Amino acid sequence: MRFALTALLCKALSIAGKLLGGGTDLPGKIALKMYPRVMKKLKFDGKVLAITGSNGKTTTANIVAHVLRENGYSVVNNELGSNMTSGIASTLLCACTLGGRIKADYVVLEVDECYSRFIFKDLRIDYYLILNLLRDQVVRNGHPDLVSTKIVEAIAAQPEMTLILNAQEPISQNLAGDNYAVYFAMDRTERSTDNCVSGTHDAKICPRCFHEMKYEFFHYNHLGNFACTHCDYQSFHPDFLATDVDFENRTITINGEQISVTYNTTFNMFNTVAAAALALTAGVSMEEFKKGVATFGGAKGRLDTFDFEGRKVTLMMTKQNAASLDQSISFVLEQAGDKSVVLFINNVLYLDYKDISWLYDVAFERLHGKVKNILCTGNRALDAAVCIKACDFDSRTLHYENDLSKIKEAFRNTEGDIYILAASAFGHEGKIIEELKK
Amino acid sequence: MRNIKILHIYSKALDLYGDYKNLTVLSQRIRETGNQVEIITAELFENLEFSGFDMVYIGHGKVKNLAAVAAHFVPYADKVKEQIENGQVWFVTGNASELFGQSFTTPDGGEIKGIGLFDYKGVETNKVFVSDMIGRPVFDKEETVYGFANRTAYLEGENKYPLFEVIDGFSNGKTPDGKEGTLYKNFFATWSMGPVLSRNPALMREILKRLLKEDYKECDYTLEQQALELVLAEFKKG
Repeated sequence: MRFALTALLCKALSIAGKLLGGGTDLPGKIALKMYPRVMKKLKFDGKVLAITGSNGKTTTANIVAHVLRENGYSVVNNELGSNMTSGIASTLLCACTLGGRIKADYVVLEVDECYSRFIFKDLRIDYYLILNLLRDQVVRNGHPDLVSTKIVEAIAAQPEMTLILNAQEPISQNLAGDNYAVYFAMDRTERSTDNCVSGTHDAKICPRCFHEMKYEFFHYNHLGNFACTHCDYQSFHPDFLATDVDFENRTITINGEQISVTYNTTFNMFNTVAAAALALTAGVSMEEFKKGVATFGGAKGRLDTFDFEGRKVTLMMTKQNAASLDQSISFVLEQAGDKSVVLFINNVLYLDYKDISWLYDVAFERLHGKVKNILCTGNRALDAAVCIKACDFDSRTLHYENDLSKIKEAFRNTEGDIYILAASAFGHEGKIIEELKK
Repeated sequence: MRNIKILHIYSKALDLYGDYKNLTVLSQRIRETGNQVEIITAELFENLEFSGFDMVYIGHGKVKNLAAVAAHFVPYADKVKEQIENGQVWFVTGNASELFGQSFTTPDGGEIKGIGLFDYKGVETNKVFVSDMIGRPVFDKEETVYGFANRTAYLEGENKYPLFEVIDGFSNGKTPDGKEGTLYKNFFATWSMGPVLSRNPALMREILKRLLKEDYKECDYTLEQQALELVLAEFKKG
């Protein structure tokens, strides 16, 4: 009875929330207040898949859910990335019967790295994909080691769960413990580098013996084939290996099967291998995966284009996360034509910290000679400019304007197509667009 | 003209939050004053030799790595203390300060020895603590600095040699006592993570003066100062 009432309230609040345009977390939050262990009562007819990692979890979860739906499976998922305890509770309580049964063939959950240990206490999870661990939103998470201890706690709560781990990421590859695990990897591509070109590299030394780690190549950040110079810790043999990554023709070969995809960035190719490893391990056939991924429409809400005085503007949402911004820079560098980058940098989180140290972990140096201008905006515009100056950009290239009412003029002083990199702007990026359209 | 030699120890093990950019901007400023600079790195398990260097730098690192560093660093305690007592410039950020106290605790409840230069002890909490800080450097109380801590440990014990008098924000300890960081002879330490030298012209100048002595020249800090003023103005607004 208590369960049925809680689920009913959650469903009602969710419908009301949709009508009023509220958040997806709130119904779950209230449900958990009413009945803290409510998720323990859920019964699943199908398989439960959870996906976590510092980068790529929304896209990867959406790829997996899309593949399943395209093949006629019924799926429950938290598509919009409400990935903490209350968001997961909202998703599941809205999808279950009043008896607590979730009838879907698959439940696909994107789960926050730090919250999985709370969620896994009460939910049965069958498959857990850990994409990677990089320094991410450090104000909230601290460093990747801290995050990995929280994930170890989550894994300990689910001894029967199968893990899907990245054989090219030394921190998360190391997390299997006694659980059964399968591994994925991606072969060297034309974009791989011999040295780490990103600003952050979180595994220069071995997580087991602290001696120097050597990498055969890097995909991005510290993701690549690795081996310790001292102990025997190295990239494990992958159960799922991507080869022949063809960015131009948008194809990737996984375990010998060529697959067509709808995108051409390195990180989404890598996400595809991870998605395939999870889906195939969880019972999807290669044919089904191929069919589904061929029509994937992309992650929602991270990219938008519009016109400003005849110039193309691309708005890219990133997190306050060096790896995320480094990936946006990679995207910009892959685009043709003259271009300028606009950095929209604000105080951290809702608590208004004035820290921008994460920005110093970004390899802005890669933009040397490749962009006409870098314009820093947002309330930390000048601090961002100090950071860009430290990367040896001169005052002809580097501009800054912290007054959004003057942003039009500042945009006019840049050349070429404009790429706005908006870091965790929480909707504030709308103010720039509003000013530009005045 | 001087050729300033900087030793960056444990650059691979202690490398969080853009701290290494402190050395990038310091090098830029040294060159701007018409002097030369050379940065040498030394890693875990390598032999450490401090003599012949004008400055030694250690950054903030992962907790597990700090414990591994301590095992390697503490055997050099006498040599390190001798260099610091003789006026070698040291710049230490974040949890690397824990190496210089009596001891520090680890996440699993263990205790690791420090070099014992200072009386404090490091205490690990396993919880992320974040805070802004504004304060006045003890070497020039007309100036104001901004720092940001993101840490899981704090220092327990009286802070006899603070670097900053805190106006608002974190201290070395668990609860604010108005004192942050360490300045002892030419040994500078602060919990301020990331690019503290980049964002604080006053601290940059002081370190440059102590490194360059009679070859010190003033540089152009207009942009950095403007950026800092905007940060400080937000604190005034509250």
